[in-house]
Amino acid sequence: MKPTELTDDLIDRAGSAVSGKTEDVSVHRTLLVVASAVVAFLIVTPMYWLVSEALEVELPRAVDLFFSSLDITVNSLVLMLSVTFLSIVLGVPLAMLTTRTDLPYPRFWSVVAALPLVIPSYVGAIAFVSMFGSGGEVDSILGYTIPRIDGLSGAIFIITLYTYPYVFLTTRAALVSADESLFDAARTLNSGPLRSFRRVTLPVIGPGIAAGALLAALYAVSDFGTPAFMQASVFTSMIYWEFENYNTPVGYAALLAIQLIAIVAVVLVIEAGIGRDEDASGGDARGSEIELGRWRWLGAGFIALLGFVTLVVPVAVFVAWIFRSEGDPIPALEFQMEFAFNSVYLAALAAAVALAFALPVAYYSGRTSSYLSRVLERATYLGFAVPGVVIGLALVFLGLNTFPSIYREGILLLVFGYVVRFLPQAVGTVRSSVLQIDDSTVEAARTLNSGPIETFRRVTLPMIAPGMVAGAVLVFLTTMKELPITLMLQPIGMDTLVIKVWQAHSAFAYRYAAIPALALILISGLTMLVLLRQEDAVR
Amino acid sequence: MSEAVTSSVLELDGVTKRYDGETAVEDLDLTVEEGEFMTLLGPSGCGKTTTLRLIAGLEKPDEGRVNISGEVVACDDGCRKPECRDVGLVFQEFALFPHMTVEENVEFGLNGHAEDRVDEMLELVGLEGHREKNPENLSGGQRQRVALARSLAPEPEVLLLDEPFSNLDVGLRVRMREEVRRIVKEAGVTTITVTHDQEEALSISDRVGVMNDGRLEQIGKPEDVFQTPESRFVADFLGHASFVSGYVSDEGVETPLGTVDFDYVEGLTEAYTGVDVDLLVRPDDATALPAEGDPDGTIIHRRYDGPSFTYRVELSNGDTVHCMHNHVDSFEVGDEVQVRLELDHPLAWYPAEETA
Repeated sequence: MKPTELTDDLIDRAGSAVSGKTEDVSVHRTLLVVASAVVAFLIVTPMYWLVSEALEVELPRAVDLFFSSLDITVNSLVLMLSVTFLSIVLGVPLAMLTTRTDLPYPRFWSVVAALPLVIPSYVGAIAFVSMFGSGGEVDSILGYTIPRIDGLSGAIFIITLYTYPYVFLTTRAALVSADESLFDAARTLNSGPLRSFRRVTLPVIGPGIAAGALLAALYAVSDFGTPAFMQASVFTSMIYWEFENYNTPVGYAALLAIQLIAIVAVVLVIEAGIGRDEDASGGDARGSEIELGRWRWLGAGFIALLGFVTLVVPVAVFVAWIFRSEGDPIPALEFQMEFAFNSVYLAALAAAVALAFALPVAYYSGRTSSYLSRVLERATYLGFAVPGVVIGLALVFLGLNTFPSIYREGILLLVFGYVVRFLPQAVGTVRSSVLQIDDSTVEAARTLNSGPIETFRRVTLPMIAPGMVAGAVLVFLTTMKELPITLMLQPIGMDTLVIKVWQAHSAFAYRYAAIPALALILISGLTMLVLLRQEDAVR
Repeated sequence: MSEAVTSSVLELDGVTKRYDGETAVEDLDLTVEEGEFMTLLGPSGCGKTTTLRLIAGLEKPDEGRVNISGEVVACDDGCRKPECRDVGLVFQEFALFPHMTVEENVEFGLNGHAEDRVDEMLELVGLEGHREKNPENLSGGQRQRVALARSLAPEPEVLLLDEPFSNLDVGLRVRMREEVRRIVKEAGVTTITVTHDQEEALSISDRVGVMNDGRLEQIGKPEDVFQTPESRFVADFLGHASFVSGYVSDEGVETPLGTVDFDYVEGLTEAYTGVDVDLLVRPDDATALPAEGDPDGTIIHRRYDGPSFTYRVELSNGDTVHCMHNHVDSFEVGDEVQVRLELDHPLAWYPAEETA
């Protein structure tokens, strides 16, 4: 894994050896470092307000609060571990099924199995709550009470349905990139399918499974919308309720947020410990397939059922609502184009700012490998680790305590919140396109008498443009779906699609959630397309 | 089939394999005797690797039968799984399990703990000192030895080697050829390897089968296949083939290089009188001499590879012939020369091609 870092170091050293002759380069370098440092500083600062607020709680009370929130801790851990476990149970067999067996139409079923990612889990949650919650659709159709899908178990169920694709996709990628002759080798060494799976396949794809499981764990513990809609008491939902109920939030919410960050930190440390095997030794030759015989139809049927429950049911529920009109009309919830316009406007601003922030950081960390570049790059990944509700809370403190004039007034704080949360996506995509630029390409331009700025403009920029576009589009689309930050920092009177979904749920007037929810599904679908194209481009 | 078949370990009978309508292996018959070292030779895409996978049970034949040790392992009725076939396969890229040590790799195919067998195998391949290492810390040659030991450990009836030397450096390749042959002969296992390297095939095999386009064109001892290729394809693929056109007369074959007596043309008789033929002339069958009087042709290319020169001579009728000389004889491109055929063995011949 280290050879690239080694070469980078060598290049660094070679660069410094001749620095006397290339003074202009070091000026550009300094500007780049300063710009990256400013971005990293801006991204990290909000956490200061969170910590300072938490520190204001006196110690005995903090201890009290810690013990009184033990049940929340337990719930959060149960949610995280259950979702992770169930995602593995669903994701790994599905990955095997679509890559290593004679399942008919494997590509089609792969797409179906990955498709639940298209639906934000809270949108799925609201569909299921309205169907299977107290007094929901199914109750009123059947005329009697059926088992609830709500509370903690409901949240586990829903989040698993929309998170297992992480495990499915990473496991599938590991299986596809693995040297398939390993599996064949096990067979020719007198191992049946089961023993081969346990002794060879599982160890080989282990890192892939772990990577997906950690993503699922992070998502589960950070998700705000689903537990909130399901009335499950976990950190994210409790933090929001604390914030909402005491309009001037007390340190309690800050303490909960810090406990949540601690859990996330543990997950991230485990992730860092696993280390990804990036130099996959892909053999071109396809190995032999496991024959399922008639069982393959059962496999296809299972994926079809999963697709039906996760995709068709919610969309059908929302479409049905559009044509329903029972209950008192609530004019304030009526759909207006203005909501969609506000969503697009905010998301576009967030994307533009995120791209401007990402460029120096991605370029610096992609072209240089030093301790400083790594630290600055990692700092911008804060939004990946810190749940949205916590970023929202930190910015609420920042606004209330220090800049009351911008809190819920104007969009500055809200857009900044989006940028903190989604900058990692922009940095990630731009950086990977920077990494694809071969050093010799830039050097070739330099030997053809093109200066550093001209080289950047004529060679580097065109090469990283696709990554920049993809990064901006990703930020744009994910911003549209962001729930907690929007709820907590939305300027008064500026409603967006997600705000309407939330308000419709709060008023138990689900039919008003239908159009915004369908719009969100569409937006998420587009996100998926961008991700897939990005993946193809990398390949 | 006669009773003598009992000594054959592997039999393929009319085996055919198609992928999406493309025929990879067509109506292949092959019998391999106990303890034999046999090589399937052919260009890439000729179906040789598919043949190995069919024998190993990693692919199913569309038609035909595969017998191992007298038992049918694949036919129209069904196919025995790879793990139940007593076949070892050494993969082209070795396919060592990356999460296991050398020792664990070798032990993999053995049931339960079989220290002795692992020791024996590691000793056979000369890796006793590396048992605790991970495959990634081994050199190419060492990986190959581990792969070999791993496949031999469960005592397979047939050992299959898929392009075993293609992943090694050139110098190592020649040494490992000898080494692999020593190891499998010492283990006494029937071995089939596939390769596209004719020199490799000729140098290590008891028998060579040349495959082309899914079919077995010729099979036999290396020297027989080399001396008397049954088709132009085989002649060409085994290397450095030149064809000199001629005309069969009462006395033999009249060529631009003189008349070749019937005794020196494999299987040609007066019955063919009046037919146009091409004679196969390899570089060691021809010598160039300084022209005295009427030259036969002109040197158009020369290749020096240390011990020898190989000259390409264009004859007056447009044919080209390669002549191999030791390193002291020296001509320049453009020199006019006479070419003498060194007739110390019968030459192979083929009916003349239309285009000539």
